[in-house]
Amino acid sequence: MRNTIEFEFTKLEQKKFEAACNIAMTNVYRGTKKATTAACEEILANSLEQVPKDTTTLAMSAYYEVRRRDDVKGYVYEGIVGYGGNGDPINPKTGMPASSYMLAVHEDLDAQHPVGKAKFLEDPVREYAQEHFSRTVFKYMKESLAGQSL
Amino acid sequence: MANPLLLDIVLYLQSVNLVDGDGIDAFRDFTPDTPDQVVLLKEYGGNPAVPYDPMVNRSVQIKVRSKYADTARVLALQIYKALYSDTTIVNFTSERWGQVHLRQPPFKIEVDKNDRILYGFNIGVSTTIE
Repeated sequence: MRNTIEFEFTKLEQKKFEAACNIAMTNVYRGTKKATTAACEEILANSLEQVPKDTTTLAMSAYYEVRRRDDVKGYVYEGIVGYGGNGDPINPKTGMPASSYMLAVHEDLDAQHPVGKAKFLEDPVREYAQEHFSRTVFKYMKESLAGQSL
Repeated sequence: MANPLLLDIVLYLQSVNLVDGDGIDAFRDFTPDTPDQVVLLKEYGGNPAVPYDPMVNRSVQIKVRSKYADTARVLALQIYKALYSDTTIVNFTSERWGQVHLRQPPFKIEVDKNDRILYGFNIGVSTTIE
């Protein structure tokens, strides 16, 4: 015994369905870039609250960058948050660029800073991954597909 | 009460002949002025505990200091390799094991005020609290 089900679509309906899928995919790609950017901005903001501040040279060197990966298929965005950018400003007290001492400051767990602390980048990144990542994904996925009807 | 985690890591490194011993050339949460060549272990912020899970994710920084850059680099790399396992499980002592996540390979951190070079890396360890 065998049952069969048949679906009939007109060519027009099929084309409409494909178009709706393409719009949904484009929106998700755009949402991915927005989500990556939002994550970088949030991590950077938290990091700037924790970075030691004396001359604020290190803080001035903070940056983020979002770019599309061209070494993988599809729309994959990569976010980089770091220090030693923004022209790598020079510390007016030591004459050294931020990039020359940022690692030492980040990894010096013994140092006592009047403002800020070590691990000023690692801690915000790990906290974000642990507690906020899924919220960001959900928010931008929901926004990307809002009003979509397939 | 169980040994502190950092002590168990020192004992493990001692068992694989990478350090002489706790307080000799391996120091926990403390940076001595001498000797020049030391292995420094410090615990820093881990992740929040999860209810009903006795394992917590802890963070440890490992630094190697030496007058000679290559000595520091090579020893840091040896310690990194000793903490690597295909299963991520490391049996530090007969009473403690942990899941070790090597967060990055060893890198040069700084040259200190006495011209000694420090190489180091960080690990996450899922293990019990003492």
